[in-house]
Amino acid sequence: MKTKLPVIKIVPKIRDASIKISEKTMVKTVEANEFLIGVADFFLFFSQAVRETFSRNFEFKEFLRQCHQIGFKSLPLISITGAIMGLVLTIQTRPVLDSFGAVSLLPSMVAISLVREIGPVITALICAGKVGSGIGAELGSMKVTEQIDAMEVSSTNPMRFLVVTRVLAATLMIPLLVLYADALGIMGSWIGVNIKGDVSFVLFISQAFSVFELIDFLPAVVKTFFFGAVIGVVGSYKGYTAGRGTESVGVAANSAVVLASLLVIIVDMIAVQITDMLI
Amino acid sequence: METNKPKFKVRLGMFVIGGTAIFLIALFIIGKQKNLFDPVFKLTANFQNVSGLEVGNKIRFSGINVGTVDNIMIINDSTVQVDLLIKKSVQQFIKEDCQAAIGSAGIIGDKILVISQGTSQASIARDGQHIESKEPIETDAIIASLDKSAVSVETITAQLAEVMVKVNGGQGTLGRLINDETIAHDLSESTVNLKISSKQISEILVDINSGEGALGKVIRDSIMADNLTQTMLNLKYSSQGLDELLEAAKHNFLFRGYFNKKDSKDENKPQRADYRPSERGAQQSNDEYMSGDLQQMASGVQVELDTLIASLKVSAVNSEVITAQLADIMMMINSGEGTIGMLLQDTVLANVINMTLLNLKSSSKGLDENMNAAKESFFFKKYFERKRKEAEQKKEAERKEEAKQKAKQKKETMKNNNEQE
Repeated sequence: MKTKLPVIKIVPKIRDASIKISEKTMVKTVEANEFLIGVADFFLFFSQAVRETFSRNFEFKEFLRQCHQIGFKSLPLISITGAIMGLVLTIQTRPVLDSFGAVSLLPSMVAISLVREIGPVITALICAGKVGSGIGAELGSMKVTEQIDAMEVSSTNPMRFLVVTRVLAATLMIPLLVLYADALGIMGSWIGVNIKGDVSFVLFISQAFSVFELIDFLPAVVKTFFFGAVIGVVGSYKGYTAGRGTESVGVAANSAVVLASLLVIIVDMIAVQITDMLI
Repeated sequence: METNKPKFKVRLGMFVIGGTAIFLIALFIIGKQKNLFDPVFKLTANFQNVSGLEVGNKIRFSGINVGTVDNIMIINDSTVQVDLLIKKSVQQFIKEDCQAAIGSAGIIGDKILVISQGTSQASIARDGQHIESKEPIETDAIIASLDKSAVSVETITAQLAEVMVKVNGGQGTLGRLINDETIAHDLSESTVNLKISSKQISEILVDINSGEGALGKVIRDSIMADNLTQTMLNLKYSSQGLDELLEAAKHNFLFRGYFNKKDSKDENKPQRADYRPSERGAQQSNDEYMSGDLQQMASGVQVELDTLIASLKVSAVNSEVITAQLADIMMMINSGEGTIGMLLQDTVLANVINMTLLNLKSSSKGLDENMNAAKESFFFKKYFERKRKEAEQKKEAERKEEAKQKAKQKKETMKNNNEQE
C-alpha cells in the first residue's frame, strides 16, 4: 500500500499537465492553421488578381484615377523624403570619406547608394505607409459598408474594378516615384556637398555618374516594380478580407502597412541576391 | 477540388511557405557558388603558405577569371591543399605543367590564384589533376628589402645633391665644363670643323673605294698589289745581299781602319752613360721634390684643377685650330692640290706610279743579280772566301768535338763494365 500512495498523488498532476499541454497545442495548431490559411488566402487572392489583370474589360478610367491617387498625390511626400535622404546621406558619409582623403568620391558614392538601394527601399516603405494603408482602409470600409457585396450583386466584378486597377497602378507608379526620388536625392546630395565645399552642379553630376553603369541602375529599377505590386496586392488583400465590424477598417489599414513593409524588405533581399549573382 | 475547405487552404499555405523557403535557400546557395550552372572541373595545388587566400577567391588564367577557390585545407604541418573549380570551357587550355601562384587583385585588394600558362607539348589537365605551385612572396619580405634599398638611395641622393651643388657652383672640372661658356664655344667650333673634315674624309674614302686615284688603285687594283708584293720580296733579297756586301766592305783593307776606330769609340761610350750624381745628392733633391708636391696638395686640388681647366681650354683652342687646318687640308686634297691630293685625285699619276712600281720590280731583281755578281768580283772575293773557310773550320771543329765526346763515353762504359765484373 505504501508504494502505491505516491502514484495516486502523481497521477492527477500528470493529468493536469497533459491537459494543459494539449490545450496549448490545440491553440497553437489552430493559430498555425489560421496562419497557413491566411497565406493560402493571400496566394489565392494574388493569383485571382493576376488572372483578372489579363482578362478582358479592363477598367481603364478607374486605373487612371488610381494612378493619379497613388502617383501624383504621393509626389510631395516623396520629394521631401528623397531630397532629405540625399542630403543626410551626403552629410553622414562625408566624415568617413574625409578620413580617407577621398571626398571627391562622395558624389559617385552617394549616387550609387541612392540609386541601388536607398532610393527604392525608402520610397517603397513610405509608399507602403501611404498607399498601402490608403488602399487597405478604402477597401476595408467598402467591405464593412457592404459596397463590395453590392458590386457583386450589380454584376460588376469588384476584383477587376477595385483590386486590379489599384495593384496595377501601384506596380507602375512606384517605379516612377522611385526614379523621381533618386533624382531629388542626387539634388539633395549636391546641396549637401555644397554645405562644406564648393562644387558646380555640372561637375557634381559628372562625378556622380563617372562610375555609374547599367548594372547599377537596371536591377534597382526592376525590383521597384515588385515593390509596387507587393504594396498594391497586400493593401487590397487586407482591405478586401476585412471583418464586418467598424474596427476592422483600422485593423486592415494597420496590418496592410506592416505586411507590405515586411514583404518589401524580403523582396529587396531576394532582388539584391539575384543582382549579386548577375554581376 | 474544393478551394474553400480549410484543409486545402492549410496545405496550400504550407506549400507556399515551403516553396518560398526553398527558393530563398536555393538563391543563397547559388549566390555562394557562382559557377553552379557552368560545368566545372577540379584541380588541386599544394602550398606551404597561402598568404590569406580564401574560399571563393577568383582564379585567373591569362588574366581572365576562369573559376573560384573551392576549398582550402591543411593536410599536414607544412602543407595546405587548395582545391580549384575551373570552368570546363577553359580546360583545353590548361596543361598538366601549369603552375598555380597566389597574387593579389590590387595593392590592397583581395588575393587571387593565378594559373600560369603551360608548355604546348604537355597534355591537357585532367579532372582532379594536381598541379605544381609557386610559393607566394610575402609582403613583409618585400618591405624589408625596400627598407634596405631606401637607405642606400638616401645616401646616393645625398651624395648626388652635394655633387650637383658643386657643379652648379662652377666647382671642379665638370662644373667648369658646364658653366664656362668659352670652352663650349671652342668645342662647338671644333665640332663644326670636325664635321667639315669628316665630310671631306668620307668623300675621299668614297673615291678610294671606287678605285679612283693612286691610293684607290693601290687598294682596289689586284695587279698593282701583286707587283708591289713582288717588289717587296725582291727588295728584301737585295737588302740581305747589301748587308752582306757591307759586312764584306768592313773587312776590306780600304775601310778596315775606319771601322776599327769606330769600335773603340763605342766601347768608351757606356762609361759616360753610367755617370750618376752621388747617392746623397739624389736623396736630397728627391726630398725637396716630394715636399713641394705635398705643399701643392695641401694648397688644395684646386690648383691642379685650374691647370687642368687651363690646359683643357688650350687644347680646345688647339683642336679648333687643328680641325680648321685639317678641314683646309682636306679641301685641298679633295680638290687635287698638293702631293696627297694628286695621289688621290690624279689618275695619270696613278698610272705613272704603277709603271714606276713595275720598273722598281724589275730593277730590284736586277739589284739582286748585281749583288750575286759583286760577291764574285775581285773586290769582295777575299772576304767571302775567308768567310767560307771559317764556316768550314767551324764545322770541322764541331765534328772533332763530337768524336772526342763519343770516345769519352765509350771509355766510361768500359770502365763501368770492368768494375761490375
